[in-house]
Amino acid sequence: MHPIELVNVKKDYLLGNVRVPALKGVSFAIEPGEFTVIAGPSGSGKTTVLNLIGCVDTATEGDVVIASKKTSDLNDRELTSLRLNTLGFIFQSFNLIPVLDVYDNIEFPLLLKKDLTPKQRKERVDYFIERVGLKNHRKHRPSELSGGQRQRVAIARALVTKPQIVLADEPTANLDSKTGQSIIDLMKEINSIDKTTFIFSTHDYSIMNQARRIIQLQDGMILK
Amino acid sequence: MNWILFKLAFRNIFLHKMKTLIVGSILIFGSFLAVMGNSIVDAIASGMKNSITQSVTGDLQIYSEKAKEALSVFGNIDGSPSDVGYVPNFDKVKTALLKHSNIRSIIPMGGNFALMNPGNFIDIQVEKLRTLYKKKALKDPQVSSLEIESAKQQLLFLLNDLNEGVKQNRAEVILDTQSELESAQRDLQIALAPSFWEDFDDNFESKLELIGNKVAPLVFDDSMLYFNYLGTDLEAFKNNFPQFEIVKGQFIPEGERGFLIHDYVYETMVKNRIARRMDEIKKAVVEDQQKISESKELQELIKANKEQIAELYLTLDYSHKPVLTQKLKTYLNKEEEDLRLLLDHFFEIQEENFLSRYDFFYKEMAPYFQLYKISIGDVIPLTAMTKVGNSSAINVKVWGTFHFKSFENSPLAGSFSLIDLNSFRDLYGFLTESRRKQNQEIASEMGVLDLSKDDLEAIFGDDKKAEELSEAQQAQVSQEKIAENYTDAPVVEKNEAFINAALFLKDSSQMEDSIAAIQEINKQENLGIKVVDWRSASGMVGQMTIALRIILFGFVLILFMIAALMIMNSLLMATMERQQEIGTMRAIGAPKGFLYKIYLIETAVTSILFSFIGTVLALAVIYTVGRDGIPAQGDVAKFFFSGPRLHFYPQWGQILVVFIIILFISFIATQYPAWRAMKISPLRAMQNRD
Ligand SMILES: Nc1ncnc2c1ncn2[C@@H]1O[C@H](COP(=O)(O)OP(=O)(O)OP(=O)(O)O)[C@@H](O)[C@H]1O
Ligand SMILES: [Mg+2]
Repeated sequence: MHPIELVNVKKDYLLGNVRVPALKGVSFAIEPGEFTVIAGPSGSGKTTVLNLIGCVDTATEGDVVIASKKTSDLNDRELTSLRLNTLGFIFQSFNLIPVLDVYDNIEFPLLLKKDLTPKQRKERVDYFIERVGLKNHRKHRPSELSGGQRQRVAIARALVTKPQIVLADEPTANLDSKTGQSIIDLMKEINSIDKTTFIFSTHDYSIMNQARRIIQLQDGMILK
Repeated sequence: MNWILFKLAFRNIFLHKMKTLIVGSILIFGSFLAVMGNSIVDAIASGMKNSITQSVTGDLQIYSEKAKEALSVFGNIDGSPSDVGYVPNFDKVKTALLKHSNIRSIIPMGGNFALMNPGNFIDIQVEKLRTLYKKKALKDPQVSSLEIESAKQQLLFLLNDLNEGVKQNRAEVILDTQSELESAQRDLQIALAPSFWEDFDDNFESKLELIGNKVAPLVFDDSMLYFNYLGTDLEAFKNNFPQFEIVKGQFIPEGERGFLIHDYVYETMVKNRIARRMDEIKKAVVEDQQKISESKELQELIKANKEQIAELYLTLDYSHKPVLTQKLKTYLNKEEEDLRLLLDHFFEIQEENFLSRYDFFYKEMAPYFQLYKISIGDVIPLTAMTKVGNSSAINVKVWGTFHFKSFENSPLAGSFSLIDLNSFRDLYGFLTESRRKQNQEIASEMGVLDLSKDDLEAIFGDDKKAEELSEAQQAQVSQEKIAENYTDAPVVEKNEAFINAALFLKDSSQMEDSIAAIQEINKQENLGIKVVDWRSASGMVGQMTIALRIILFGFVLILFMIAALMIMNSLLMATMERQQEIGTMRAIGAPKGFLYKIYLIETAVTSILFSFIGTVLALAVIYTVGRDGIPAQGDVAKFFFSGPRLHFYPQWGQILVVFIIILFISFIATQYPAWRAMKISPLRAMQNRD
């Protein structure tokens, strides 16, 4: 059973009256626990693919199946629930909530999920804070952190619900290469220990080469 | 969970400090105004209720079923009494209604207005002498020749002064033609001649006629006095309106006819104008802290007093002239013998000398003048318009003045004087059969002409027209007055008609039930009455608090609307600014309802917090200022406040209502921005800030 499966997915954007075909029939499946990079030049459709997998956008044609659910069959509430329970997001620009401190930002998805007792919740958050190496920054606001630290918070936030799949669209694009590498190292570590399925995009070759599997996109199609 | 919502909600409040501050101030002001205003309006409403019910209306009023207009005890907007017909049989109504257990008492009443023409000062003195002679002829032991002598001297004093006036050209002559004027002046000289007075007692009829008809027209008539009055069962009135109080004179003894003037009317309309102006200046200077040198109005008053000193001078009792002259000479430190000139000096009033002169005026001078056009104990002629449009006149004794405790000087509560029910009925035109016959006999004896309706309207319409009436007509009016002089006649006839009646309830909170019960009794016993509560019976005046409330409510509502618009605007702006964040929350898995809650909490916090501050401020003011009371500025305010100060208290129910309204309005204001926020796609999260 594949956590992610795309079957002949097409996606057209409408730019005014003009149809912009962003994906022209993409099919692939991801195995559980895979560490996958989506690569390709700018405008090749990486972000589009990740948005479809992340259930924040819908395909024009074809099926996107996440955790055995065809996303086109789901309504907004079901999609939201899928995002909350099955997916974790790491954003290029971190997207932390500015008023909340490190701890609160990480706890946020757990509060939405409501499946843990306060004590369990605290243990879980503390664990991930430790895991991303921000033990001494738990009371810091995002504005008081460096880019790398922020992305670590974002990773912890994405992982805290123990999602099956973690998505990341160019997680290192806003970081210098050294910090970017440490983030990739963290992701690799979690992948190998927790068997979380990772799928992320990048156009950094050095990062690309560290992935076990590379899906190469070009003009909205997969290059074999 | 909740505290994260709060954190998110609070964030915006602090992020947009300026907007929050403006919205906050409006909400604070709005809720302050609503809480405070309601409390004050409530206090005014209950004060007014007290003033109205305790001075005229009682709890309920009844009047004829067939009334053409709704009853308005304070009169219609134009000041005319409301035309409500009458109910013919008071006893029957009273007996029937008192069966209802909640009715404590019924006081019959009726409102009307009458005029009194005081004539000019020579007329008055002539009339006084004539009465004395008449009484003497009837061998009245109370009339001594000394009294007649003194009255003659007073008349001579007045004529002398008139003569001085004519010589110095300061007489207020009203005769039209030169020949009339010259003939009047000739008659004045005749009347001043010593020989004229030698055989006065023997020929008083013709001599008084000469002075009254020929000389008096040299002088202006004093202006008409206008009385609104309430005819009522005076005993019942006194017993049921506990704030009723006699100020001067005495209450009308049981069974007697009579007139009680409201003290406010007495002090303003009946009092000599010079003295009244002194009072006005005193009030402005002492109570309102005004400065004579800075107030044009006060200077005008002083000027008017100087110009019209004659009005005071002519009420002087001639026998005191030397004493008063001496007193003034000493006080003013002037070597001047002419009293008129001394008075001129006296009324040269300035900032520094006013208070001392005021005191001197009342303590040392007032006793020698007649400061009121009507003295307590006088019998005055009242002329009223009857129901059918004739004039009717009676002479009635003024027994005293009254007021209502705690709103003493209120013009509204003082808008009427009191008259006994029988005199009222006569003035109103109710006649029993025997009374009608009696009148006809008198009329035929005197050969009175019928006055046309137009002429009467002229008399009532305006003074100018009245002056145009021929002398014969004027004489006739005064003859009618004499014809109907039965002040001393005992009340023998039974006449039960009344216009309206005040009902007092034992438990006034049961007003609605009692109204229903009275309507039921009315139906069963065929009483032909209508019943209304005090508010409706007081017409415009009673509706005033309702109007106040509407204005207040409208104003506060507008404020809240503005606040709501600003809340909406600020939320919308925040939504636009926070698109990526909202998208992120949605992407992470926050349902739409979560966003909605953030918005609701945010506005709830803003509106609760600020309206709470406003309410607390209002309560602080209510507890401090409200307990001590706001002083009533002016006499009208006293009526509305039902006392010298308005005390007000928190109205918890209304505070709750204000809160609910604020919450509701901000809830509504939240809907659109929240909806916009919920429409934001999680895709927004992916868009980089650029
Ligand atoms: N919202 C949109 N409206 C219209 N066209 C879009 C939109 N988003 C993407 N596209 C177009 O779809 C194509 C694929 O875009 P996509 O963002 O997926 O590329 P990408 O591989 O992520 O590029 P980059 O490396 O620059 O992020 C591009 O041609 C782009 O112009
Ligand atoms: Mg992209």
